[in-house]
Amino acid sequence: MTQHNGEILVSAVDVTKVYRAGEIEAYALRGVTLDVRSGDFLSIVGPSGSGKTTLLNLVGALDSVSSGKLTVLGQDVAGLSRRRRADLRLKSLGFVFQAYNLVPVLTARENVEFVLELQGVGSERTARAREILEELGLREFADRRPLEMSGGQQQRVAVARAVASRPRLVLADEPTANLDGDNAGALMNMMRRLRDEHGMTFVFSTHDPRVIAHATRVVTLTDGRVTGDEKGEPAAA
Amino acid sequence: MKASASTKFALRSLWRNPRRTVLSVAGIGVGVAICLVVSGFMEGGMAQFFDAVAECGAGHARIVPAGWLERRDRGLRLADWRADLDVARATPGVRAATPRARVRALLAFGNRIAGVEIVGVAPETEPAAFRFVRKENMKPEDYLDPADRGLAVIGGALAERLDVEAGDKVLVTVAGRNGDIRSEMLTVKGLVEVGVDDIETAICQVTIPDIERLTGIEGAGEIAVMAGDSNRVEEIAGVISSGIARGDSVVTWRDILPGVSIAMGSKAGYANMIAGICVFVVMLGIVSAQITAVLERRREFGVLTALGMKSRQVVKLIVVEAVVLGLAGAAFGLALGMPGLWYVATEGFDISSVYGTTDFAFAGIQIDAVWRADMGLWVIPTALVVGLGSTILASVYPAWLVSRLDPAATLRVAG
Repeated sequence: MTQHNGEILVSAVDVTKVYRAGEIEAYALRGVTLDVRSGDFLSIVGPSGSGKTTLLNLVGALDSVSSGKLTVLGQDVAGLSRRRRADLRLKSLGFVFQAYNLVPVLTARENVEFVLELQGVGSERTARAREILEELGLREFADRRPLEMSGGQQQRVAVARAVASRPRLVLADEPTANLDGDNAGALMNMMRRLRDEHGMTFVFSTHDPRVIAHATRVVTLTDGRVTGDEKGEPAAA
Repeated sequence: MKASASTKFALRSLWRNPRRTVLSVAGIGVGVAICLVVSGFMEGGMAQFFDAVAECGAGHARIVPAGWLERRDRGLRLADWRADLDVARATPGVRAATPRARVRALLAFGNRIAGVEIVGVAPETEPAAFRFVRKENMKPEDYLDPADRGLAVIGGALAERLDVEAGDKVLVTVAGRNGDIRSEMLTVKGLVEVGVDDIETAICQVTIPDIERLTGIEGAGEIAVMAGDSNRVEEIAGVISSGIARGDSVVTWRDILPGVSIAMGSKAGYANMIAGICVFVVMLGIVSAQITAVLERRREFGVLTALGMKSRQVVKLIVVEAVVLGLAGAAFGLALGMPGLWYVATEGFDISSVYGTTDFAFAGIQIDAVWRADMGLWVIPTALVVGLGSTILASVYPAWLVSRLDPAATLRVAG
């Protein structure tokens, strides 16, 4: 089991995000101040429209803050160019999306290989992709395309893709939204194992109690503001 | 070599909508086929035209005396025509070279006169360079022999104007070297029947010794050079130029007939423009199909961008797809265009059906009504350039579109 040193991986100070359409302004986040520490299995909870996904997108350098300071893995994301943000995402972050988002024309192994290829991994990427899938209990699905897998299997492959490069921080947006109880549980146990064995930190945006049940920390967002930050009581794996 | 995951993504994506891909390939193929047929037809037709120009008196190239290009003086003579002739005949790519000398003259018979340019020729080699005195247009025994003196062959229409026939003697009057008037009688040995009055009225040939005697000027004023391949004329002219006598120079038919050169250049440009428009229209169709194919996958591209894929990598995916489409389109275009091109290359296409006339003669040049296309290995690189060029160009805008995708926006809209 990997020991986490509590290092601050993400620091948000008074972060605000405003979407403008003509004269209309919509505040998605208002003055959010929040740290994410190494080893967190953090759930960001709140009703729809509370800003969970927006916060995740900002931390993932997919979007830029309107004001405030946001530091991810030591880098001020506001000052990064489009290319540098892509680099940050590629090399240091992992993403798991709500709708799996696997490339439908590629097999599970090829989906994982694709990310390794983007990272510049050479001819050994095929072997590494197989290794990751095997480690996560997905060996039998390696040569199947997404349409040939269930939702749960696809999401687990998406996790494999997200962790292929052993990122320090994995961001998961509603990862269990389309999964039944058994699959949701299996997915969460997989991610807890990755946290424990490989030192990855997970941040979830969710309103699924099945995810919250595994969290070591729960941050509540309401109308774009942090209204709660409590220690979680993770259920046994 | 194993294909990478990104290459597989690009290739397999083409088959997500097989009908669209097939239609795109078909569109590219049609554009390629049109280009091949138009280009082949124009190349073949132009080559035939250049040969016609050359064989109707201009020659593919011509060795001329110093000052000829500026003054076009028929009285000028080559510095050493025999040596120049040897150089021309020894040049690779030259199929024939023949000396000539010209003089403006008046022919008279009874109360009829006609102005004509008399050309002094070497009868043993002139038919290789002047198509109207070949056996298709006159009996060989009626043509000049090298030893002939005081004999001339004239065009049928000229004979009709003078009201003469073979065996009649005509009075020839020329201006000599010093401007003096010189006259003598020439016997008509044979008549040249071309079927075009404008050409026949301009034909009057004698041997070179007869021209020398008529004008009092010795030697040849030009050497007509005929190339085996009209595409190599410039190259051949360059080689000859380096070996001929000092003062003499080499010009091509474009210098001799600049107006004709410009007119044919315009025709070729017009045909190329038609082919270019066809390719452009095909390209627009491909752009539309590519944009649709790309926008259908915007969420996928958004996810890949979210995972860290850079703009240039996204562009590379689109270009790989475009290259595959282009190659397939080029192959289809070759398959589509080659049978037609082969037919026109072997059987020819009779342009008299298009122009509604069989008389294709102007400025003393008679053109064959049946045009044959040129067909050779050039069709392969042409098909590739047109196929690949059009698809890669067509993919520029879709690639730019997808490279500017905001991953957060695409994921938000569909999520």
